[in-house]
Parts: sequence; C-alpha cells; structure tokens
Amino acid sequence: MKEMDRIESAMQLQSLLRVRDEAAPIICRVSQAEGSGKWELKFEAFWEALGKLPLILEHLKGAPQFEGDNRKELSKIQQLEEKAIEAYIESCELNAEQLKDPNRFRQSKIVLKVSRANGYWDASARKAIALLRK
Amino acid sequence: MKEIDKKEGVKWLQSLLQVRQEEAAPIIDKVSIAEATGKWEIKFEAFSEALEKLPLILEHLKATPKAEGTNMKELSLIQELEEKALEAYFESCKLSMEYLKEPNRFLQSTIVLKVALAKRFWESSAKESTAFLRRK
Repeated sequence: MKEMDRIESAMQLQSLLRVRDEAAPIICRVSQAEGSGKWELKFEAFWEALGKLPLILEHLKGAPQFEGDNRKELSKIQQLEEKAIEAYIESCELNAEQLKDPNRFRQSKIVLKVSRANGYWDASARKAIALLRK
Repeated sequence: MKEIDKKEGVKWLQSLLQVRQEEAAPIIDKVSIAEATGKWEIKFEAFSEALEKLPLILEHLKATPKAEGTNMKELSLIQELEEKALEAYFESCKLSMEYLKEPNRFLQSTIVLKVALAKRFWESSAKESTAFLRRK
C-alpha cells in the first residue's frame, strides 16, 4: 500500500471514530451510574443515553461515503460501530424499563445486549487496527 | 529546488520534529512506563501530566511558523500528521483517565484504537519526513 493511501485511510478512520468520542461520555455516565446502584443516577444516565445516542447513530449513518482503496474495510468498520450503538441503545431501553418494573428475564436480556455491543466494538477495533497496520 | 530553500526546509523540519522529541516524547515515555507498572497512582499521575501538557505542546506544534522561500505543501502534510498523532494520543490519555475511574470494555477498545491511530500518524510522518530529506 502506498504511504498516501495509508494516510488517507487513517484520516478517514479518525473522522469515523469521532463517533466514539461523542458516545464515550454518555457510556461512561451509564457505567458509573450502574456502579453506584442509585436509582436516580441510573434514571438520569439512561434518560440521557436514550436522548443522545439515537442522534449520534443518525449522524454516523449519515456520514459521507468512504473513498480510496480501503473503502470496503472502512464501511465494514462503520457497520460494526452502528450495530454496537444500536445494541447499546436497546440495552438502555431495557434498563429504563427495568428501573420501573424489574424482572430477571429482562435483566438477562440487558446483559446480552451490552455484551453484544461490546462484541461489535471489539470487532470494529480489531478491524481498524488491522487496517492501520496494513 | 534552490539551495536556500533546501536549507530552510530542513531547518523547519528539524524544529517541528524537536517538538515531538523534546516536548512530547518524555511525557509519552512516562505514560508508557506508568502503564507497565500497573499501579493506579502512578498511572493517574502520568495521565494527569499528559492531559495538562499535551494540549500546550499541540498548540506549540500548530503555531510553527512557515518556512520562508519553501514550498510548504509537502511540509504541511508532515505538520498535519504530527498534529493528528498528538490529538489521537491526547484523546487516548483522556479516555485512560476515565478508565481509571470506571473501567469498561468500550473504553478499553477505544483507547487501544486511539493509540494505534497515533502510532500510524507518527509512522507516516517519519516516512514523509525521510522522503522529503532524500529528495533534497
């Protein structure tokens, strides 16, 4: 691969990963709220996540098409990022319901959704690192 | 390229890369050593220092004056790569600080990604700099 192609891919990847910068504070607040075990904190964090993450997802889906030799790999990474946020939003929806009416079935679904989101984020990171090392 | 332009270009490149070597490298080294120790306090100290100093270094990098009489097109790309590398590394430190407070898998994979991105930009900057010096 030519150096200019590597640079172009890295720059496109950096702008794609802005989505993680936007999502990070929200996910961290959810994580902290869950750790605290406090109902009010959790309610606030899930409420914020459900308000902001769908907009971040829309923004991600509306991103301009990739260019260059690595566009297929970049598109795949984008898809994985989208799937991760979708799964995480679903986990927050279930969490908000769980706060009102807790049950074990829903709890297991939440764990599954979060683990699915993490799986997509990990897969996206692996693909991105492979692309950067090409 | 005229001899005077060559000299100016090389001088400019040297001053740009000095920022990486003399200002950023010691901080990055400290973070790297701190991460290897695995100790919370040492990591907290190293990330705090990085978060305080790296934005100033980035500003310094961005304010590097243009080299007079030189075609800045090639050199600007190297400057952009250095800036992007430092930005990505700074973001990794910011997230690492969050990770220290409340670890989660999302943060972990994002930190690894940001560091990989920073390395990629530094590597490309080094390659472009070497190519520039060889052309002269």
